[in-house]
Amino acid sequence: MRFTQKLTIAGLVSGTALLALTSTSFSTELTFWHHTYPPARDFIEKKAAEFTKLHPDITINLHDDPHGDYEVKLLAAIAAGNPPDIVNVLDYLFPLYAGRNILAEVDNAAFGVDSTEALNELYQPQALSGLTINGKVYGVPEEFNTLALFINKAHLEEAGLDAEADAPKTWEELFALAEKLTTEDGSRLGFNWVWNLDPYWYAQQYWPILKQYGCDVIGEDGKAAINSDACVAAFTETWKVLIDKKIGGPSMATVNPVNALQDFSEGRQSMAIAGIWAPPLFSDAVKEQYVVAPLPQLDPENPATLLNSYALAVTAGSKNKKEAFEFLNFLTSDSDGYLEATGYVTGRKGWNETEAAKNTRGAQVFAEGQKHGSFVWRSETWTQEGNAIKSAIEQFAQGVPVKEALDQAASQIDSVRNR
Amino acid sequence: MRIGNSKLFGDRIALWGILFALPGLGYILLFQLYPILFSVYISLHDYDLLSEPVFVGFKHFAALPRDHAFVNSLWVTIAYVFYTVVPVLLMSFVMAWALTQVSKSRGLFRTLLFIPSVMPIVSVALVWKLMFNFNGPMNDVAGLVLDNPVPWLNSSTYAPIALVVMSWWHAASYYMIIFLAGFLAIPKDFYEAAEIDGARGWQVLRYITLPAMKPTIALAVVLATVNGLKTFAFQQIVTNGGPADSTQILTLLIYKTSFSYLDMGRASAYSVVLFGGILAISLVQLWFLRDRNA
Repeated sequence: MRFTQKLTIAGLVSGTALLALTSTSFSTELTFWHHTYPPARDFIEKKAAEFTKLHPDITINLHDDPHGDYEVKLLAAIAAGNPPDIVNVLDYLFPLYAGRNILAEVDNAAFGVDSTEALNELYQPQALSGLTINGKVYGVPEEFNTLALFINKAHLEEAGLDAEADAPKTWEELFALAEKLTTEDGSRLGFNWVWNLDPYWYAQQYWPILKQYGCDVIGEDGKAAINSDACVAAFTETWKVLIDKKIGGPSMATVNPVNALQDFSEGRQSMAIAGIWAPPLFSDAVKEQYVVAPLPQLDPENPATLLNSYALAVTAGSKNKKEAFEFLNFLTSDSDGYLEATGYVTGRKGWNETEAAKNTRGAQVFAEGQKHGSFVWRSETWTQEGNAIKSAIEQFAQGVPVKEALDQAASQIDSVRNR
Repeated sequence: MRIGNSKLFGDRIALWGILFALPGLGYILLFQLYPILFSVYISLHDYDLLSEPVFVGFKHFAALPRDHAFVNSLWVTIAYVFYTVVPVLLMSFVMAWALTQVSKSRGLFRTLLFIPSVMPIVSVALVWKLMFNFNGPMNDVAGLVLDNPVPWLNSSTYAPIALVVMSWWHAASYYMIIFLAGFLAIPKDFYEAAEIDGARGWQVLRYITLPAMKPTIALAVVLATVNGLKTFAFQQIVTNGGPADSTQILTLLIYKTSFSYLDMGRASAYSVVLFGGILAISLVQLWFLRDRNA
């Protein structure tokens, strides 16, 4: 073989190899970790395929694990220096994650805006506030939730009541109605809290009540205030009432981490507090005739509700931040599709005016509730603090005086914060 | 007859021995010794998994006596081990003895009795959780004599009892097999000699069976105590430490402190204390139950 032939072949081989190398380097795979929720997985996979059609060089690899295991696995991956590009994080973890530089600040350009203010304009008021740390936005909501009261219409009809007209507006009315609906043999409960799940589940339920009573978990001086008079009154006049009246409590609740609302879902309980995501968990019989009413209040003229968000964020260690944020914008801008397929409200402005919202029972109640909500308190040691309050609730549910249980929680919170 | 150089042959044998032992040794060093030493190292640091460890000396150890969660978990663990180990060993001893009295189908009975120990603990825990539910079978039984259902898993009084009962069911058959091996290893001559000497019932147990079984009993006591101190799955799956931390054993506290609270330094200090405790208890038990005739 002549030298020129050899040179040509060598050149062709090198050129092909270089081409293959460059084409490989242009293709991007985004890893996306999510907590397990089958409808969400199906929807994200569908949107990922659409995104890849628009951007053939980008593929999305979705992986999910059940809530709880998911958070542990995520931390392990981050600690090992191998984080996924996109993660699904509950809002109360944002101070911890942002404080440890785990999350990347949202790329405004990927959302078609040029400032944080403009980004906020895309969302419902406050939707990004729970994901904003020191003025920087670290994620966007996949779910922007608030809570409302779900009522089993048939149960109220049996008691000669109308679920819409007679829906309780205050806690006092709720417990009076619950007493009326509860049967002596315990086969039906009027109302019960969700018990024995993680501290965030408890916090979702007590947070709006604490706000209504003017109770702060942490005082302005940075010390625990959960044992203040306002907090003692909040728990005594709400959580404790069911126990004292013997019409609710942990011993009457069916505990199911996969379906926290099992008693309501199966028609054993007449009223439950839940989010817009709840109906897919209901049995067909309950699904057909539930009614959604606003969350009961201490003072209905000055309502206070909860805001919470299972958000989507891009990790600081991702090498594909731009592409990841572009996909997040593509995914979450389909509010209608999200609501229809998963029951999630993405928090984008005008979600409640979409066709899907019009077909969703209670959508307007939730939209109104979002206006009066706030996120749970922010702290890098939230989990320990939430656990201390959960433990206090479980203590007074067993007869320990509310003040004594909350004093203990306050002492534990201070101890954690002083470390 | 001498085959070659016996010293060289011996050296070769030793070299081969070392080579064969290396994988096992490597495993022990990497997956057992290194984590233990790393735990001790981390216990002297503030470490949140995400940032570099910061040396703090014995801060975490000094804080232990005032650490409400640790003190509570320590008592919960001690109570759990006591109420589990003693009854389980008694039950398994009796079960093993009963098996020795069975002449027909002993293998079948042994297999049936051993089933609880070989079942996956996660499945077992979930089934027991359902059984102890307020409207589960345990309350159906309790309902025959009680007016109100027992809040098995929602009361700080009953939840620890429920977990202990689960552990009895799960662990007894495992120690039964150990005791059975011990019973069967006692030479029949001992019993024949004792019978000739006029020993009966309690005397045979006191002077023949128990002394002959001492090494087996020592092994079972140490294993049961160590396994009790290391238990995790039942508490994590059935109650997750609640209600009000009444079933939060040390291993569960270590897990939560590490992976939920991201306080690896403190969790490692707990681990070091637990490790020291297990080591000390095991050594004391082995010394106390040692076979003085050996």
